[in-house]
Amino acid sequence: MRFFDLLSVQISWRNLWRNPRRTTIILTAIVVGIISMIVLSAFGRGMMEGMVKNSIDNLVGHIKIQNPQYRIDPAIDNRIDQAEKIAAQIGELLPDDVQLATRLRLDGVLSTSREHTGVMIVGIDPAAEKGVSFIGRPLYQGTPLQPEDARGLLIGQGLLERLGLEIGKKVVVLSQDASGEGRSKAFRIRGSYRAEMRDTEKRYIFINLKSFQDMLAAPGSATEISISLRNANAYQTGTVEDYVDRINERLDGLGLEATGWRQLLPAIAAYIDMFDVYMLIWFVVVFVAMGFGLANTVLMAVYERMREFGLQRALGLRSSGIIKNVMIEVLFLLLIGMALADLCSFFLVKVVFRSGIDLGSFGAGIEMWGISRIVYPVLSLSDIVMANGVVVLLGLLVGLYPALHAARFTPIETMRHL
Amino acid sequence: MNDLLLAWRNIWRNPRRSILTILAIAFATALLVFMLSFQFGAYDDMIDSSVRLSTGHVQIVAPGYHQRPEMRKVIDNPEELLQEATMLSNVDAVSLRSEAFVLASGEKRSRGVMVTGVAPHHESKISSVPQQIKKGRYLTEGDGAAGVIGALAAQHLQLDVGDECVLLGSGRDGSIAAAVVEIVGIFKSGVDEFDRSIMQLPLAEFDTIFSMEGAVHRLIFTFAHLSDSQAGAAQLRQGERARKLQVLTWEELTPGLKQSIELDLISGIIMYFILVIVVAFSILNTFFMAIFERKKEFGVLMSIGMKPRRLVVLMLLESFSMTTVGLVLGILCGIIITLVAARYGISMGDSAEFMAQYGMPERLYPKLTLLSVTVGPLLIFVVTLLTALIPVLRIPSLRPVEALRS
Amino acid sequence: MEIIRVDSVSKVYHQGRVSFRALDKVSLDFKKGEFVALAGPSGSGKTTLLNLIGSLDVPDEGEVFFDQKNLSELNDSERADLRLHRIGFVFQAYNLIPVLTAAENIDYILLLQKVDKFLRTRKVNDILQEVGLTDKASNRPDELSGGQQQRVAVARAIVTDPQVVLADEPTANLDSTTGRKLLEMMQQMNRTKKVTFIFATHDPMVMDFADRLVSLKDGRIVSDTAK
Repeated sequence: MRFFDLLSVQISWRNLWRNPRRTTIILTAIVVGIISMIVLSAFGRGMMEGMVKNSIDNLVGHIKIQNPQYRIDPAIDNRIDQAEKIAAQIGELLPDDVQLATRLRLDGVLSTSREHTGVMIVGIDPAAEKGVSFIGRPLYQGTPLQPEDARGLLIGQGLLERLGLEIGKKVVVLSQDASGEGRSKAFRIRGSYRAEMRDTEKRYIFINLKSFQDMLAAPGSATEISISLRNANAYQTGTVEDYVDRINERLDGLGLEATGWRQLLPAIAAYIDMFDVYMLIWFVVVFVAMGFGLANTVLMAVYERMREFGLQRALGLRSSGIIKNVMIEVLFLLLIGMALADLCSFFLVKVVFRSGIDLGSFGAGIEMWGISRIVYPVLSLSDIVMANGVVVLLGLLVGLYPALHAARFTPIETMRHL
Repeated sequence: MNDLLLAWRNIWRNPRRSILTILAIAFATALLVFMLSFQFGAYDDMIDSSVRLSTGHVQIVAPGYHQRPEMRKVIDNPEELLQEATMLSNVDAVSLRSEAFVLASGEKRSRGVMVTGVAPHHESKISSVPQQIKKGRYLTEGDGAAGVIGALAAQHLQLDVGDECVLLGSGRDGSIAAAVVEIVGIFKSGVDEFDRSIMQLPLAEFDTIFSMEGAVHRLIFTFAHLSDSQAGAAQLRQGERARKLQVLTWEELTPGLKQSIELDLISGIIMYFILVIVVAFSILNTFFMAIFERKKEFGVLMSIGMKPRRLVVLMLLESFSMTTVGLVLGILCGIIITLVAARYGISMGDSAEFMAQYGMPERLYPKLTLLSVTVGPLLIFVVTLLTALIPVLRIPSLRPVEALRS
Repeated sequence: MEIIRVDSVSKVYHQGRVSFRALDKVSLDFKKGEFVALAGPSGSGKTTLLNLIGSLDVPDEGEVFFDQKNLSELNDSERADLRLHRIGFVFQAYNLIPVLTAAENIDYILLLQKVDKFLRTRKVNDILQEVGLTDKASNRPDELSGGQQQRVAVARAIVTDPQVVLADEPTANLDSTTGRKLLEMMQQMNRTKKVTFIFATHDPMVMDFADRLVSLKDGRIVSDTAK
């Protein structure tokens, strides 16, 4: 006998609709449960991907080439010499759509006529930053850095306000050269930028790479070569690790090292790994909440039909056959629920919440965590599979309880329950 | 024979079904009690570690200092204000702080550092920094030109305990301020931003170096309880001198913290609400069943003169008793789980590193409060009773003859 | 003097598209203290008539008077009160609340009548003794035999001192010996308490016991004979 013989399937399907109200109620529980699993995980994932993207945009990139010492001691001593040449060599290794940005990033002091403050000075090639980091995006105020502008400086809007500065004002930037000597140079503020995190705005100032190199008398030096992959799924590990290995092969002997963003942002990477666990916990919790109802509903349906099961047994159906029929019924219930819920979730994510939800009213809170102001839900196949998988597996497990009960009814016993 | 007892016995007519229903309610209740306790506990820990690390519960600063900190925006004669403030009830500790940005230099390296002048004796009551010394010691009252520095700053400046550090900045009056201090200790709070940029000096030394002439930048207060801070701030604002200054609470000092707590709480509430809805639909069938399988009995009861309203009350009592059992069971389990978790703490696993950057402790300790034990169960209670109403409200339209025939 | 007057009452039931005339212009009087059997095959309208007398249902045409009161002029709540205080019911089965003991089942109706506790206890004990179930007072229905259950039902019907007891096939689930005992008990009550008993039945034994036999067929009275 085949497992899904047509008759069993028909019997189960019709039994399911003998009490439409009851079936509808438990279906509602299942549907609401699965929708909550999928939609909430989509928002969670959207929020997390936004966080990852913001962090990567925060001058990190997917892969970074640095002097390994720089990560412990970010000083000019631990620089990359002839950075342009190395960048060009590495560029050859990678597909065409990959972007490289060479930067010289050092601690320094920004002085106005009245105040001093500690900053991170970043020398950039403005053209190379487009699509790679937040500084490549349109400015908040003022004009972008021109490639030949030796005195131009970009400042965070937050720092601009805190220091009471304006576009066009002059500031002095101080940093240390390779001999430990302090070097300073006057710059003019050309523009101000906004970043997802307020701390970033208060910390980073940008000047042309060439002018920073000149200021420190370190021609051709940089501290990092940041590599951005265009691939939308770049935050997934596989590809990045692949490139990192290839780049490191080429860098062998130069005293430099390429690192993937997961190593660069260990905290974020750990959070992503935990995210799947959190989601699974949420799925199981929601399932348990509906599992009780599922068990109860099927149990009711089974007890109502006690006499029928007795009759079927009397007609010669084995108890395994009864279990099978009940399980098919449970499976139907789960499958209908899953289909409806998946459709609704898809509709919610793709239509209702297409333009995301605005967390603007938690402005300061989301800035602290680097969450984007607008969170777009992200449907991931693995989340959908996991949600449906949890429901169908645990659902069948729960369904076994009433099914075993049904199989226990003997003809004689059930006849007595008139 | 009262109706409550009747309702109670009716519940146990179908023990299997009732137990499943009660368990569903108990599960959701226990979960909510635990989760809310966990969230509230985590918030308290977060706020507390932020308060301890830098802000205090309430601060008094010169007008405009919070928006744009400048050396010249000072509080003169802070001792007077201190006297005024210590009179207040609930104040746990008060401390004075001043801040200045300097270029700090070690033998080879220099970098910008925020120097904070602190009163070592008071600071140990208010701040967690004294406990976070990883090498050397914290400042003491007798210290002269001595300083403690964040671990990352020390690393970048290549400084160790015993080394000298040159500070160069400007004083309150705009004059050049320069000094040499000896590093006596290195602290590590785990918040990179803090460890990278902070150095602490004794307040008296700070006063001399930066020509403060007895003035300070901040008065920092902690209260016995976090919840006292609003009232405390309000009281402080009444003070004659404080009226000309700015009194700020931790919410205003770290709006990010407050709003991220709100965001977390709201997303939590949305999740719990969905969960409770799922539970409600899960048990709705039981409630329907309890009525429909007893139609005949209701017919008899109505025949002998029982009014439908009384039947409604009777059935609601049934749902109510069942819910109550579930709630009590759930609250008890929730409390037990919470207490166990509160004793051992919950490790955030790999996320701990992520949280540490925001000053979150490695282990989180749930905290049982009246609120965390009651809010969740109350929500479940209300939703379950509303759920129970759906089938029960069909009773009045039940005709005895039809009920008898079913 | 009549306690119940049924005045050219008709009742039509609709089931889907089929309508069924359960009673067709039936007129009938019942006197106080009568012991009447409404007989007829199933579908003859006897249960419908009993339900109309018991104010469980309303006629489509005609009127039913209970103690001079027109039942169609009463609202639901007044009808419930009438049933609670002046009519007792005994059904074929599922008469009792399964979670209450024999004594509690009887007690419960007195509770609905808001009788005070002291009086309730006394009345319950008296009636249990009368129906011979004192020793079964704290047994639940599923621990009683069918005959015992029906005796509790009769006790519950009678304990409120109603004017009329309506019994719908009370003996249908009983063997003949038990049925006879139940009928003897009811006859005894009819004689001593002057309570009117009206039965709907097709059990010949009940018809034997009755003082008056009303036969129905297809919603009409075919004979009405007093013995």
